[in-house]
Amino acid sequence: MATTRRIIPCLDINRGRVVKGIRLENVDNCADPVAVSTAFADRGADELALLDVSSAGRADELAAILKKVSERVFVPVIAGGGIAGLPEIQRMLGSGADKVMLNTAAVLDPELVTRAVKRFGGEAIIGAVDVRRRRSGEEITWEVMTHGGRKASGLDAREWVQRLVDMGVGEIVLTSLDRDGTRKGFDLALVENIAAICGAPLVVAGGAGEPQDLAEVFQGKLADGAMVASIFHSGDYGIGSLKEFLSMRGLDIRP
Amino acid sequence: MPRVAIIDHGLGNLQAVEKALTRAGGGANVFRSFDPDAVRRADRVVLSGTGGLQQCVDELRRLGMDEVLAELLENRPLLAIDVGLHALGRQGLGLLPFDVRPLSGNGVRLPHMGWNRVRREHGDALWDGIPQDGFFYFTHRECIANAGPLVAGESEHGERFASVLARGCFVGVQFHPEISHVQGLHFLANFVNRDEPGETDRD
Repeated sequence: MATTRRIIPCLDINRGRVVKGIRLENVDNCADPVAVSTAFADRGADELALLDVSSAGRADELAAILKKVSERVFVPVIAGGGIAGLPEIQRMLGSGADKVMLNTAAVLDPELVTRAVKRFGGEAIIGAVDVRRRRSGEEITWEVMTHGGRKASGLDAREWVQRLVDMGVGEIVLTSLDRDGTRKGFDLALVENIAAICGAPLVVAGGAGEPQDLAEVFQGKLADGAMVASIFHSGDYGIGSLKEFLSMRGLDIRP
Repeated sequence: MPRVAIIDHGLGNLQAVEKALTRAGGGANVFRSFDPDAVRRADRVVLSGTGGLQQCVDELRRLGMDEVLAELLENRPLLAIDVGLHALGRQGLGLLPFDVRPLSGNGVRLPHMGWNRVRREHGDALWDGIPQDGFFYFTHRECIANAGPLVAGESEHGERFASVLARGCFVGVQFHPEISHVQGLHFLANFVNRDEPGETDRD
């Protein structure tokens, strides 16, 4: 008896439409966030992430989508993308999100994390950490990136994750920007590095292309969950077949 | 059709609770309320919560819900969820004999976040159609302790802890049925629709 490993489909949303081309069997309109969310939840998604990727930070649009999704979807929903402060967090939670991801805003103002945790409870606040590999001589490190990966923060991933956990976030979502969208597998060295020091549940993202990639980060309990999107591009894998594969490998997965 | 009141203390994702009860309730009249009298008149009452225990308890007291909850525990189907459940114990309003303590985190990460099994200790109509060791969604750092005969189900995250409490027509759960997909909706439907002993005697 233990907590199961989670698979969390991530829907990138721009102007009310799902972008990045998810393909789902028997879903006609794979650009409709409500249809896609409902299909994923009914097919076994453990949670869903709705990420606003329009650089404008369209809180109104995301809130409206969350409201519709919450009428039809009864698994946890994560909201993210351009969330700048307490009013936006309140807005998302009030519209049906169970958790909110803070990324750039947390780096720019770490105090925001402390205030959000105090006001909404740590379980509702996720520290989203986007990183890129850096090499100095023999040593590999990972630098925290902000603004959708466009700006380098100078922060070391390990130190920043530790700090977020100390501030009381309920979960870390760790994304390798080097692997994001490549379907070449997770950056395992990164996952091992962060898993070793992360006291909060760790969800990894960036690179999953094959079911085996998920088995690798779930084995040895490196990661508690995986946020995935590109693996659904081809239509070769559905959430059900992924979960079946992982269960067959002896991993503890919710059927 | 039963009237189902969700106590509206403004803390946590009550929207999800409302939508799930509406979906599961099969036509039940589901509403949120911060008015103690409206809550008193409901056939079923739900007290959910996430976040800080003290904040929840303070808000319930400010709304005058402490007295109502004491009455409901005697004679009305009450479902308490997560911090809403914690609020009834000794560290909260002191209406039920149990403690709330932090999870030990023995070899596991905290908070306890994700899908986990619930092993229930005795049958009850609330669980009709839900398999033993069924999966529900948890998100908490603190857990119930010293609940004695109230314990009706357990789960495990680094240690075993009480995930279901029951007494009469009261049930308390550590997990969140409103985000526990089919099994969660099933549980909520059972709560809304089950017959209560003596219910037909009341107006």
